[in-house]
Amino acid sequence: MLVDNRQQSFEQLIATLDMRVQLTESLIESLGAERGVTRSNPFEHRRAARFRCNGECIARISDKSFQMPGQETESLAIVRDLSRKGVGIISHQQWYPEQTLEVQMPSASVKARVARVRKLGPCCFEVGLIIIGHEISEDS
Amino acid sequence: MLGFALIPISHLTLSSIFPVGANVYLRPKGSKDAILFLAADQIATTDALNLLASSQDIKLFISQDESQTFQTHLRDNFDLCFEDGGISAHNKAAMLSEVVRNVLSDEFIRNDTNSIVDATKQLGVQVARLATEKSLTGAELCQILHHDFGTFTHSGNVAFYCSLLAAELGFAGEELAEIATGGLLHDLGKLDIDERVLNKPGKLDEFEFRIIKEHPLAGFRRLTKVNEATQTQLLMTYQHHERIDGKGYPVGIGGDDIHIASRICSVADVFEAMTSNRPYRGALSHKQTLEIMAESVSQSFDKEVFECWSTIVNSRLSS
Repeated sequence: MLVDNRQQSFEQLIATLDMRVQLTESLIESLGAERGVTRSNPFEHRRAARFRCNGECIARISDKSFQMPGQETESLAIVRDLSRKGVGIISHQQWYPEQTLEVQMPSASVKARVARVRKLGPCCFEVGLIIIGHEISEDS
Repeated sequence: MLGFALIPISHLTLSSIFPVGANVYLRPKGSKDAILFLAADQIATTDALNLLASSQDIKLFISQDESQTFQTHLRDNFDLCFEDGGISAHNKAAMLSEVVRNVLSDEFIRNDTNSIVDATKQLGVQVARLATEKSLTGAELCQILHHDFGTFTHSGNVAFYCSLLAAELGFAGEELAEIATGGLLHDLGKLDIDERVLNKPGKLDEFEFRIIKEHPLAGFRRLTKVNEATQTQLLMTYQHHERIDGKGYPVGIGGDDIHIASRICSVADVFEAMTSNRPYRGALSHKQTLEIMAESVSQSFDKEVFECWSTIVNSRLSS
């Protein structure tokens, strides 16, 4: 029941926001094809396995005192991968290292700190975040 | 024989309007012993300064223990130079360049971000003030500055170039000072990079290059923890290796998405790096550097900013 309510309120919330991410061609291909645990390259310092996902989320800035010019406080994004320690999202806007975001997903919310950002194309930023706090639904 | 360690100082750090704040010792050429030249509370006479300027053989020193007092005193009193109409812009620039070098070298060794930001804020105001002195040409400035490969020397020079360029582009007052300070801080992240990689004489391998490329991010992270740092300075630190075509790092943004102060810093940074001695090559001439930069202007730089910088430097070359 709790999950249903949560899902319902999440869906109502995302209906009020526009998805403005413009996926690149290679991203569209990989989002459709990749599943399960992802491989890391030797230059990444990963402590936990990442699982590919492909779902909507809301990225919301937690600390409004660290907001850069032109940044929206809340926007719709795509969850790209998830691990015990971190979450990767695709956002239409640029986030900055050390900013703290709340990433709200259908069944869980996490508080996470931006670690790095890379532009993949117009309105398409790959954002790597380190999870610093969880709020997961009891029934999930 | 003095019973304490001495460190060399430039004669340009002495002024005829305020005492140096530390005992200054002098060692003539060929002599092993240093003698007291000026007590901490004494002011150098103009004749003595002229003599020092004309002689290559006299070296000046202060006690290592008084180094901190000396830096603070220079920083705090440098404003007095601006009030004195008798000091030429050239001499002010020479003196400020020494002050910036000394302070940055000292602060970078201490490696305390709060203290660095505090010191650079004050220096930024002075660098910006100097950049608006009409009688100082880009030409003179290039000649005055040191061109070794120390990060602190590079940062000081980039700050001078950024200020001159920003002033020419119409920035003034607090904004100009903010950009000057941003220039001093832009490579702060290099304090987190292993010196063996930073000063490697040969070509960097892929792994080492990746390490070097971390410095804008490392510097930005450091500055986010300091309340005094402004958004302009944060962005100059973070974006000075972004390229106008979007193929730079760390993010890969391009065009106007790169903050104007970062676009200014990018031109100043590349020009300074190419015209300075590096562990792996000698300094290029200003003319050669501008030619090389011009070849990649549409990929690397903001065209208007680069052309403005070319005009500033060329005014020197033609004169």
